[in-house]
Amino acid sequence: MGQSDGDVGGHIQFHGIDFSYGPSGPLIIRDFNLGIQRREFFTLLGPSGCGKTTVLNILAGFEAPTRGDVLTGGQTIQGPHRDRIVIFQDPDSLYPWLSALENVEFPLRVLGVSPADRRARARETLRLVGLQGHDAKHPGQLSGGMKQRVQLARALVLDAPILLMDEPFGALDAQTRQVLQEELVQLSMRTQRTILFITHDIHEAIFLADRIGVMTAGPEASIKEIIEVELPRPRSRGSAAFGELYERVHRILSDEVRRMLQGEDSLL
Amino acid sequence: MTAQAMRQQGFRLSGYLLSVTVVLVVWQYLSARAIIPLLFPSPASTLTVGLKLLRSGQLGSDLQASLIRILAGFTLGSALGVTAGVFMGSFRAVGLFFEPYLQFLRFLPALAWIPPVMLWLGTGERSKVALLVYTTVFIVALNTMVGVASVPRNQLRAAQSFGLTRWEIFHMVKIPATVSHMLTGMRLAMGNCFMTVVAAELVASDSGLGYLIFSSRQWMQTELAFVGITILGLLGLISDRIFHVTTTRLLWRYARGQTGRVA
Repeated sequence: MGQSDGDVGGHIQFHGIDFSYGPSGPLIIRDFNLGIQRREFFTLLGPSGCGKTTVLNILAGFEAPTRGDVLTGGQTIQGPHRDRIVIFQDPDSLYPWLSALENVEFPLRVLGVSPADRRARARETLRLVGLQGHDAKHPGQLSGGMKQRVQLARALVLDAPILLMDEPFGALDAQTRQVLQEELVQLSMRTQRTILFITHDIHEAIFLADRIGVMTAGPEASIKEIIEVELPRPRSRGSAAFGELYERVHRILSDEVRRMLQGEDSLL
Repeated sequence: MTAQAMRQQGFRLSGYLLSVTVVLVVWQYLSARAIIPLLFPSPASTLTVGLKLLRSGQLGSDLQASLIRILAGFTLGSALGVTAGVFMGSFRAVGLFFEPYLQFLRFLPALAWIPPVMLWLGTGERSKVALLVYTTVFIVALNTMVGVASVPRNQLRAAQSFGLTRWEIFHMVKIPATVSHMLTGMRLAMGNCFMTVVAAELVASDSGLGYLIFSSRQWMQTELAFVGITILGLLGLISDRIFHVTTTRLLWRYARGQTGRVA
């Protein structure tokens, strides 16, 4: 499982993406270009409502771009596929009538993996995300952090080369969030997936990412600037370098937030 | 069950018991002072008549007649309602086509249909079962339709990413996600079935609890009506409990926002 991400795929390319709801709607995304390397941890950072989730949904295949192409592993994407699995912010994507183990088994069931085999793989993956001993519990019996771990396990069990994480820790308390961030860094180093992680939390972006793409305020959002995070791992949130980078990202982002607020004022 | 849960259960049961006792005592007291006791029988005389009816076998056969009608109409109506609701929720065109009728008919009580249905199907069992099917089908269909249409989008999107076909998404995600809505509709429908069965039996029948209540009028046997009313109320209460307990035991994993096994 985990370690063998498959040697094809994992590379992502957005080519001149425009997106609007309906052909005559206003452009939410305009001329969005971005390349993400195989096995890279890329964080998309931007003010709330700027269109980050739209970018992720396009890559997941849930929304079709109005213009432009998205390629993974050199192929233009056509709708959702099991090589790109989303970890949603809201754990309501878990199936509440299935136990944690059955949820992780679910994608394997569809692939026709034998019951014994998929049970073993699901159990192993739950152990990998630190949920051993909770196999039989149902989502309703798990805390928010545990539910997100089940979502992560359900994505990892498939050996998908690309993981799409849509503010997965956004609804968790600060302590749980930090623990999960640390675990995710460990996991991403061990499992070697390409990760697109969306957040509006600068700390989170710096702690996790190889590179951070800061988005402009919407509408007509695109990438404003890409920042390489060259801090060694594991990263210390208290280090001077971390703080400097925080300041730098913060300046870029707050310009956009200010622009967005002004935009709202002029609408009033 | 933990000791605390048992204490709470005991507290609740004694509360119920106290409430029932108080009402029975007040009822007995008031009926003894009623101006015309014949019109307002006491719990004691209701019980006496009830026991007499039970020994003669009449109560049993009336109870059986009503229950079989409800069971047949409710089961058939639920099956039809679930099927219709699933189709209407899954296919927008089907939903749009039938929704006006659903919305119109659900406000028309089965009672309004008694005369035409009796004309079409006669005064026998068929018309009563048909009225009970009518009572059940709309409320179950409506709840099921809403359930199918309100499956969380992320559950469907996740399934798409896992490569499920439309048919797999239908039976592996949409149906299990809708079970709790179906059960809600069925539980509501069952309550309404009790109203319909009594009304149908009042109008044209020679058996059933509705008939028992109605026949009391002929001989001024008010006790008979009180027996029928009491049994009907108890029957409704018991069947609701049975329905609730069996479905939560068997289908607890499908309960909405379930937090684990409900005992």
